[in-house]
Amino acid sequence: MTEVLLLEATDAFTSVAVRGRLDAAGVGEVDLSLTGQTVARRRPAVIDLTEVGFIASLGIGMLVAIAKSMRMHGVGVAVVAGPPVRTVLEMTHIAPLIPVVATREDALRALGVA
Amino acid sequence: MTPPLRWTFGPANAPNHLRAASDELDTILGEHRLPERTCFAARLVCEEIVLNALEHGGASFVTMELEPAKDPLVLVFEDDGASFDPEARAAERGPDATGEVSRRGRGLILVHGMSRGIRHHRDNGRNRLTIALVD
Repeated sequence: MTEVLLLEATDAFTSVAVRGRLDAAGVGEVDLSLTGQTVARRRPAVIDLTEVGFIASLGIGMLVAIAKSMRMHGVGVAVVAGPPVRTVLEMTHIAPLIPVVATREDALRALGVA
Repeated sequence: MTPPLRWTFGPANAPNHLRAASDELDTILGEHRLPERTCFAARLVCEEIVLNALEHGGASFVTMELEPAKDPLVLVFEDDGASFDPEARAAERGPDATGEVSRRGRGLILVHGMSRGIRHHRDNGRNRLTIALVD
């Protein structure tokens, strides 16, 4: 099962973590929840995927949709990911829209809220 | 000689069937001591090719076969959907007029990134894709 955990919600930013897999089944399980906890808050958001062991194009599409919605509200999103997932994200050239970094601190810096 | 392993997917409940197949792949390929990167590639290519055939190609079924002891690991897919040759769709792997890569384009990028060779054959209204994975 894939799940979303709200780690921190301040006036400056939102931090959430996803655990599980972002395959087709996993995206179906967390899409609404992840969108609700990031886009709906209209604050810069860190999405921590360090406990995600697998991501496919549907999962990347979900992140892109979230980032585009947030950009419309003038806020950004950054992703923290470990090597296998980071490699997949980098292959699909999403960096101009979503910085993909190794640590939460790097993500907050990328969003300008560190 | 061990016969190839075979999975069949249909439009009904495809995400859950794919997840079950992904778990089986992980176990089988792990038992054959294949590198983690190859296991990851097999699961990713399986997900992308099967969903593409069902969602974009309108296939009523997709099969996947593999022989875990073969080096390099080769996945063979067959489906009855619209003709689909990943090699002929290089343009989709780049940005469109709006500067974006489509979801299908991202899937193609991932399949190419995880493979060392792709062959497409169309016969009798069926696609046959042979994909050799990275080490």
